Amino acid sequence: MESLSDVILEACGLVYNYDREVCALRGLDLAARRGRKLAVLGANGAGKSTLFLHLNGTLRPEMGEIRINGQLAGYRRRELLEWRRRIGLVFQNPDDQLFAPTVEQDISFGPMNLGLDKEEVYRRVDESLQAMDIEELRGRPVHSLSFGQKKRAAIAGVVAMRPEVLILDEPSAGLDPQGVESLLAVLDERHKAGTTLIMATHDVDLACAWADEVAVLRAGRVEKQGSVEEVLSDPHLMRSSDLRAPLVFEVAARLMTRGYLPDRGALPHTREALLELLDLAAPRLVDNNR
Amino acid sequence: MRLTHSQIERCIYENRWRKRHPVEKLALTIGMLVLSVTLPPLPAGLAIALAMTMIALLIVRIPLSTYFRVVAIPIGFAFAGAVATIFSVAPGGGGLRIALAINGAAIASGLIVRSLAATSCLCLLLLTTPINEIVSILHRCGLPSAICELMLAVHRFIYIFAETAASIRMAQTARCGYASKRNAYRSMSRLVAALFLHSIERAGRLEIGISARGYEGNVRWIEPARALSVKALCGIALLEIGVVTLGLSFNGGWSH
Repeated sequence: MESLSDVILEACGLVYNYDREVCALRGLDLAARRGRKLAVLGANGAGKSTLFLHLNGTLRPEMGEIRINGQLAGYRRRELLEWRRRIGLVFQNPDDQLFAPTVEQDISFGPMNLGLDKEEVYRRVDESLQAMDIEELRGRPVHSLSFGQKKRAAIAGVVAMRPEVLILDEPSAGLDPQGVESLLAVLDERHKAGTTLIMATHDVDLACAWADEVAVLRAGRVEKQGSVEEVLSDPHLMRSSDLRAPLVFEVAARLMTRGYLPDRGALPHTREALLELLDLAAPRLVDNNR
Repeated sequence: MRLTHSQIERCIYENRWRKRHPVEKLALTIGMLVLSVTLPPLPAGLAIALAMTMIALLIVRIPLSTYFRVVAIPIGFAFAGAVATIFSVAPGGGGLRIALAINGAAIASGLIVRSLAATSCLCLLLLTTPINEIVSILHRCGLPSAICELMLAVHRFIYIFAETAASIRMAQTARCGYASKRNAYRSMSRLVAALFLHSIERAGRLEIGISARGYEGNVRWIEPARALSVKALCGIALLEIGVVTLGLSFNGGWSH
């Protein structure tokens, strides 16, 4: 385990109910480490979105607390503004977030709220448009954008606040494979620039390929948090959480038990890695299939 | 063909006056609008309608079909109203009687010319200027921020509304919601009800969404920089003075 100072954002014992019947979060613990990519996996209704609304101070837990860099997060006006500058949240539906007349204006909204001067706001807008690779959308009215473009514009609006942690709720939902791939590419750039990324998804294959670390949510609690391999290759955990093991893990595991692959290898995380493994370890098998 | 949002949008964001300062466009169109309401309709109203249409089609190069479709909607109403003014209803002969109104034709034609002039002014403004630029000028003129924000929110919501309504309608149609008159009425009523719920829910989510970016009750964003052209303003002033002179020197007598 890393030392505590590595943890940039931490949720401890969160409890939250929408009303008496529905228990949304019940004693949830989560820790995101600086500069890592954390995937939060969970079936529908497991509490991913509720958790995220807590992570940026929109919802206030009935019990438990949020810590940023080890410091208890406060809910006073000034503290919330600072909190939201440091922890950026991108919503699943971009229409819940985009509201200014044009893309450029929408992106400037966050920086303006931070009270930055005009020049700096323009610099941030340019930077975010570039980061999300949507410079050509600058002056376009928001409602004329396609879904994928809206999604990028929404992310750009949060990136413009230069958050230390970027939280994305189901960023791949509604995008075609090409759209997901290029979105992940621009997110990787953010990651390389030092931003800690947290992503909610129920796409285990995506989480497996993308994340450094995975947390599995079930019924308002984190069932398990750990390395991708440790968490996602646990069939019992996955089944009980209404998820499935990633296809690449299943295939690799089956090939190992059948003796096509060496038994004690690292599991491949991406389809490319799996194919490469096949080429290396079982050339004959691949040759026959060609 | 139907008039669509995207046609109007394309016009607003791609016309030749897109980069002009909104004050110039407001000075021209609102100035002319005031003149078309205050000056006698003939000949000033006719001149204004002609001038604005020429500007829209020849200078700004708004596509002919878009322009006429947009103008046709209010003009349709004006015609309907004008027809009503030709007649008068008066008691007589043991009942009500419909008769031609005194001076009715003159009033009706004055009304139509005036509407044409005013409509052409407003359409030129609406088809060349994005709403946010108009609102930002209004804000600078002292309109309270709350009202400005409300205007922009309403504008944004029109599109979300239209999209939601369209998708609900499509979903209803797919399940025979409009297959008969009876079904259609029922589906329509449900659509309206659903739209209200949707919009309230949506507004709630949008508020959460923007508060995540530090919204604290004040909407602020950058305004596009536009240079105000003195030359253009002088031209507009000249044009308007010309219309005033024309209107006052040839008062056709139909001053209603």
